[in-house]
Amino acid sequence: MAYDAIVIGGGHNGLVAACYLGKARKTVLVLERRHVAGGAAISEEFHPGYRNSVASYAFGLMRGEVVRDLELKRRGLQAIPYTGAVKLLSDGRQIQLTGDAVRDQATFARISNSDYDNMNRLYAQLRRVGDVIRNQWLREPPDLAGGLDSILSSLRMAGEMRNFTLEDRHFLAQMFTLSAWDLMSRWFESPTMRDIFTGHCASSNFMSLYAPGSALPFFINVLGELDGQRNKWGIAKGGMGGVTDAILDAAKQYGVEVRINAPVARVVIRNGRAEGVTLESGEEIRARVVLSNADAKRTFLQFVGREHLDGKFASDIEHIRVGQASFRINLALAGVPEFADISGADAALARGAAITVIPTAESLEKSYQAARVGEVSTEPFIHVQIPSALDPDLAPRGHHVMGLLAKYFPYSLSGGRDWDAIKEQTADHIISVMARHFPNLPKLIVGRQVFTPFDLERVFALPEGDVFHARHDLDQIFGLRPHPKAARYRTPIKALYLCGSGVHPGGGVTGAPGHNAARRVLKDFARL
Amino acid sequence: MASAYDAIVIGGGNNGLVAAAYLGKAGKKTLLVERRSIVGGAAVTEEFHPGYRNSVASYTFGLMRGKIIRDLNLAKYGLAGIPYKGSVKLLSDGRQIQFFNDARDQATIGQLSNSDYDSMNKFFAQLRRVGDVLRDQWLSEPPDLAGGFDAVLASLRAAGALRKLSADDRHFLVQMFTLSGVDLMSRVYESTTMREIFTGHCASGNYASLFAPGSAVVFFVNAMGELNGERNKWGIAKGGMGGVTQALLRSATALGVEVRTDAPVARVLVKDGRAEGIQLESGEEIRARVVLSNADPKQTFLKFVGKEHLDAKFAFDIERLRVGHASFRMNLALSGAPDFKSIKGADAVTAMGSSITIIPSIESMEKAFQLSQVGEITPEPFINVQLASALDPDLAPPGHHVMALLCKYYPYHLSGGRHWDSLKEKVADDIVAALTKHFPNLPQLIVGRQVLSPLDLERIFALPEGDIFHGRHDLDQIFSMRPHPRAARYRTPVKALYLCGSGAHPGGGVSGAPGHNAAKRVLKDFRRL
Repeated sequence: MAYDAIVIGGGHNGLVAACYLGKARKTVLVLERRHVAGGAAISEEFHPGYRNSVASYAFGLMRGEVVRDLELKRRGLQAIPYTGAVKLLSDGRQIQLTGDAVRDQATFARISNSDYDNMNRLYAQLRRVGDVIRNQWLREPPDLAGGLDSILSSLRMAGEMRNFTLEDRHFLAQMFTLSAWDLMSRWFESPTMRDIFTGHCASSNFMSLYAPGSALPFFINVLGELDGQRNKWGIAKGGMGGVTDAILDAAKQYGVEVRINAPVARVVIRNGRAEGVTLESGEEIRARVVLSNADAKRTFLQFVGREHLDGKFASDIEHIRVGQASFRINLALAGVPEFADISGADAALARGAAITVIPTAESLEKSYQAARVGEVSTEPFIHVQIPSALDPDLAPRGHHVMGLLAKYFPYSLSGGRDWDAIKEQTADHIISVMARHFPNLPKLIVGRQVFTPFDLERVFALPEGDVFHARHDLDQIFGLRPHPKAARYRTPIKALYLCGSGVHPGGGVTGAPGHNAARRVLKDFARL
Repeated sequence: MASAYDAIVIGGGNNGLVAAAYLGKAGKKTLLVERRSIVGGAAVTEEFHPGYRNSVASYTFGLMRGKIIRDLNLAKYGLAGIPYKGSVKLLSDGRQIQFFNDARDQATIGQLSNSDYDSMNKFFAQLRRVGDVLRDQWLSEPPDLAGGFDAVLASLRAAGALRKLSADDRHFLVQMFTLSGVDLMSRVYESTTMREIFTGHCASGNYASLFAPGSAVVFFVNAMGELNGERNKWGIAKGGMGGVTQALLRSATALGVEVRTDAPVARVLVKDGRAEGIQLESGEEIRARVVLSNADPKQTFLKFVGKEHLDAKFAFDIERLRVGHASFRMNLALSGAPDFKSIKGADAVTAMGSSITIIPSIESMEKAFQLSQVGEITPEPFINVQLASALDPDLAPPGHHVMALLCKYYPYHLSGGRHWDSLKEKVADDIVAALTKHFPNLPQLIVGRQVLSPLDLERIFALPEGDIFHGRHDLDQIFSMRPHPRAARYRTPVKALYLCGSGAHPGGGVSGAPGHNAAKRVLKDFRRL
């Protein structure tokens, strides 16, 4: 039988798109390569008795609209907020922020007289201007080639900015054009706070923190939401698999068919129009439309093929910059990791916090420059999460699981080195850096799972390990993501749509690309 | 007290002269005051060694707007452009690649790649199409970031102009502002050499990593080039850059503008938030209905106006403008013709009259940039070389030559507390040594040299931290944000004080555009001042 729609890839965006289509009474088939759906948002038992979000791990971007539309809470999606933030600095300092105003003010006061107020002013300004960008996330970006409708959509955005002061507008323009370092040195006076906040920008992209546009990740992070609360982050109950399970439950109710172990080989194209897919098994399945949750390079260069694309478009897709230089580790711990400098009740709170090992901005820049030419950083930036401190079901009683995302670890290594040959020693080094801040950590490790950038690509089909399917650089966002001819979910191939992180508004477990793509497809169905 | 003048222009750089001339042309009584003993700012010709004259700072001609040349009759006052005969690329592996800008180039590029000659022509054709749209934007005020209706109108007008462009061209236009130099060139060219050569182009026009988004914006400036009405042409001005500013001076004077040299300004007189004139360093006060500053924004607001007349946020933002160009400038007096290592005969004659560039590899350029960020000096400089006397023999004694060098990246702030004055001669020696690889006989020819470190460029020409553009052309410092949303349309937060220099849209380069745009704004405002 032929389906109304086939979705290639069961990542969270693919599933969200499928749900919206199913909800609109279309017959939908989702085809997933792996034995589990969820893409990079899954939980697995990576060591007997220990479960964790194995790839994506932080929850805080999923749009409330999607959660409500698909009734995800009723289906078991539960957010658990972090109990603050802990910054582990290279000089050994461990700075704990709890969100309690009196306490955090005192913590800041040891570093600077004005930076606590500065931080609050920065967040307040962000709240004022952030919604303009946030609203844009659930809309199609303006069409670069467009006439009237793109002017109208720009005017809509201009309308939302009408009440902004000049200062707010300046700030908005700076969001996109300043470097992370420039932005933070405008807002904070102390080198420590500058380092800490500049470091925020390291986790969500791969670029120099002194380069224009490198401040953008900061805004994406603070424009997130958890249970309707802005700038809140945490985990999903059960790990990121909890998110996927809830969406799968919705998919089932909406009649969406999900097939696992069904890798796609090609999109079937006849006369410039997608008519279905061929699986690697040779099976051909027909549909009126095909949505691809895969990244743009794989979608166009592998599934579609250059023979169906004009040369310029194909060349542009080849030139999309991918790669995040992220190294991912999950640790199974036979006990409680102790901080070097935080103890007692504070330590219990700190374990449930968003923990970051932050080198100085100078050192981060050196790491970036090294990574750019294929060298591996010796002083990594590390996001640390101990989700079992928030959700004890993930590990045996009294035990813990720890997730690490370390940067910068380039996909392409210099001197022809192979990631498989150096991954364990790299993991050992990262753990030795961790041990400076958690002295008892090495003794507690009973199991570990290690993903090099190469593994992230092999396992999760993240291109060059890019968790966003393509960098959020200025020329790869909004109406340029992944290309002006494919930025509005439609592509140069008729009836083929993009619905993943490679299209606006980009990476992160937001559900937004899936939501927007489904809306576009439903609008188009009438005339297909 | 009644104003002696309608307008005072602080600083006689090319933009100050252009603004003054337009005001004079409109019948306004205008005084231009210049710190130095000659006008021209960084666009001056001086005898830097007895018998040898050269453009001592700015040296290439090709941005001056044709409209200004016509409006101010500059050709009549002696301005003449002399085009380069081609370009020569001197690579770190010793290769010397000569372009003639004609069909001969096809064979040259053919040795590097089968497709790059066509790619180059396609690229320049696209640059011309897109440049034609942007060109108009240069002689108009940028959209007002605070604006309501008129800003929307201005955007729509720009959008209307964009309608002429195909989807591909629009994509290219956006990429010019968002791509890195390296990325843009690796999209255009397949051969490493061609990528290097053209990425190197971006080094001279800004101070940013060639891997950083926005570093390709330099191509946008290149696209603005025109010489004697011909697009995409560059060269020198007859008599050097002083030929440009002397023509401007003659035009301005003829239009009734009064010019005072050796008249450094100490303060802008501000009363009740309004500029009323200036005070010279001599103590003399001169009143005017409006004051235009050709000085950079930092000097204008933080020194001439003073923080006490500015709101704190504005002053804070001005303090944080990123300035600095990391350029080291030299002029050499040569007692003969420098020989290229591997270009001979008639080709060498053409090569001497070309735009010559010493281009390290991209990775080496990036290293140089990174070093300069922390105050270190690169051992392998990028150098723009100009033998102006090959195009205009009057600049040197017969058979002799002058050579201008612009070298990058040489940071204003040196590491380890080192001082430029004690380091500059040694640095100059190293640069000459680097040149000698490509011009073997050069050291024997040098009979005089002028060495300008970034600190010298600041001291002599008031270029902030040696920034020839008065503020980097970074994405957050162009168009409506140059130098600040509240001063981007030539008006400033101080009433009756205007900016008319490179620190305002469209920025640096001897274009005359900021001066032209500022004068237009002032003339519109005069009615209600």
